[in-house]
Amino acid sequence: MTLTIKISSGVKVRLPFSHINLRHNPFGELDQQQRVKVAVVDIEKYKHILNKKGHAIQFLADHGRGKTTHLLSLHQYYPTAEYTQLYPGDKPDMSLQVLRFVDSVENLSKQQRIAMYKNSPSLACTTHTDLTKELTGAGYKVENIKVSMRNIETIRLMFNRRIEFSRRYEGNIPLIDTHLVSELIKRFGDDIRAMEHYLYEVFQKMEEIENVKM
Amino acid sequence: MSKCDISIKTNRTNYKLGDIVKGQVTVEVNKECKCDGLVLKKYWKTHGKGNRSSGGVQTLNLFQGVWQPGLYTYSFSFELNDGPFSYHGHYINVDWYLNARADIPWALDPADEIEFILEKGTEELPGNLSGYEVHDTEDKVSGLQDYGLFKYFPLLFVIVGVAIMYYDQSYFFGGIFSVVGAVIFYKLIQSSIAEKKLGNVECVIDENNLRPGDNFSFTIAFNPKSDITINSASVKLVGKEIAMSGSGTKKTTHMHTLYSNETPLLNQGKFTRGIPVRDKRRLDIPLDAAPSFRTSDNRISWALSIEIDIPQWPDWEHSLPINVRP
Repeated sequence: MTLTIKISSGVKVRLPFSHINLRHNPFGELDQQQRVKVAVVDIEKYKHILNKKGHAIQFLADHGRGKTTHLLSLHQYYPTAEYTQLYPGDKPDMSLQVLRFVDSVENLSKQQRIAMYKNSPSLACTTHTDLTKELTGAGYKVENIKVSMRNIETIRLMFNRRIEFSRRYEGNIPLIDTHLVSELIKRFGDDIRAMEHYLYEVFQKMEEIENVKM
Repeated sequence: MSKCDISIKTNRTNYKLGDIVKGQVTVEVNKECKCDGLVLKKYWKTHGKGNRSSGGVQTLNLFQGVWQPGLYTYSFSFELNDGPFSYHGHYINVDWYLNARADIPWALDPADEIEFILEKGTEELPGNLSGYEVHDTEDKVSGLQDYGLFKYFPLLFVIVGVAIMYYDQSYFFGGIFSVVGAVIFYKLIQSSIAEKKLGNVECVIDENNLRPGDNFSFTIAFNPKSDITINSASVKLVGKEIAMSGSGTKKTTHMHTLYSNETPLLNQGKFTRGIPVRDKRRLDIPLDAAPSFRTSDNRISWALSIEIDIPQWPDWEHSLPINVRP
């Protein structure tokens, strides 16, 4: 006797998500360029700061709050600056750079960071541990930006931009309203990544174009 | 400022392997415009929960020079002679694209992209379609993997954990280290302990080069080293999508079960020392099975998961990968 528990595979012959006028699930993984395209971040006032020596911008938040998106968006204004993504145990070459962008700077040891500060007249970084004291001690004038997305309108705009980015043709597409965003905040706080994961599942199940519901 | 619009048109959306995708790239310019290259690219890309992977790139250079105002049409054709096939699952999707881009100096490059579906045809498939997983070995016989000295490695975690608790009084972190180390160590040795009673357990399949709808035989055999009671035994055919997003410490694995079918093995009860035990079952690959597929961060994999539940003794567990071809 055999027990079939679940069958849910199969190749479909229609274009993906065409039934809801999209090209892909809007809350799937995006590459770096795509993330910058759909980002809704308020970094206008920081776009010239790093042209002056001795300035550091620190994006501080827990995982999944959008630190990397902020850093990538800011990097657009300084396209020639070196951008380094750090992982635990990395020992990157930190030779002299006029301006440096570093994602997950806490993955460097304190010694490595201090060596890096010496070779970086200006710096932008993301971290989930506050390095203000350390950066100030290294002689930087520090802009400390605590990344937290709790503004309903900003989140609505950000999610709808992702849906728009997935658009297939002219015409209606699913939309996210402020009521849904409020519900998401109630459930996930400011954890944008958790909201995106939830919405991915919602879009997988969506059968027709409608306002997105929880 | 000059305007340059690009669009791609094909006569249909669905193709089979061996078909030729034909169409036109149309360029409309309203002012004289220099183009360093109009390139049409055919490629496949994954989308879904995992980091995006792509491949199968073929390009055609359609034009280079100066466009005067007007409408230009460039015909193209690509033969579709390689995989992977279009696939739309839960966490993993594979789609084919045509992307036309004009390299315009000192301006945003105008571009257009359309998708098309590549399906399996009725003809026999070539043996080496890109994207599909082929195991390094086509093992049909499988015994327990010997981890050698590596199996003792998790004990280091236990020792470190105890040291943290003893010297640092940090019971939370020390406890986590010890428990994780102990669990991993147990998992690595549990089946070896089970074999102290069961004897060497051998699992055999008669074919490891299967296609959707195929059936194959699975045999389990052992010669008990002592009298033993077995609560239950089973073999489970499991198909999974495994997608990985992010990288480094931000790497997340998303897993979705496509198919799971459990077949009971042996008879519950007592088995006598020295009397060989053997059970053979026929198993089916479902007709709509997604083929085994692998890119760096997206994988569709099939395996047989075999379990023997021994009362008051560690259970025997083993996994045997299965290769499902398109």
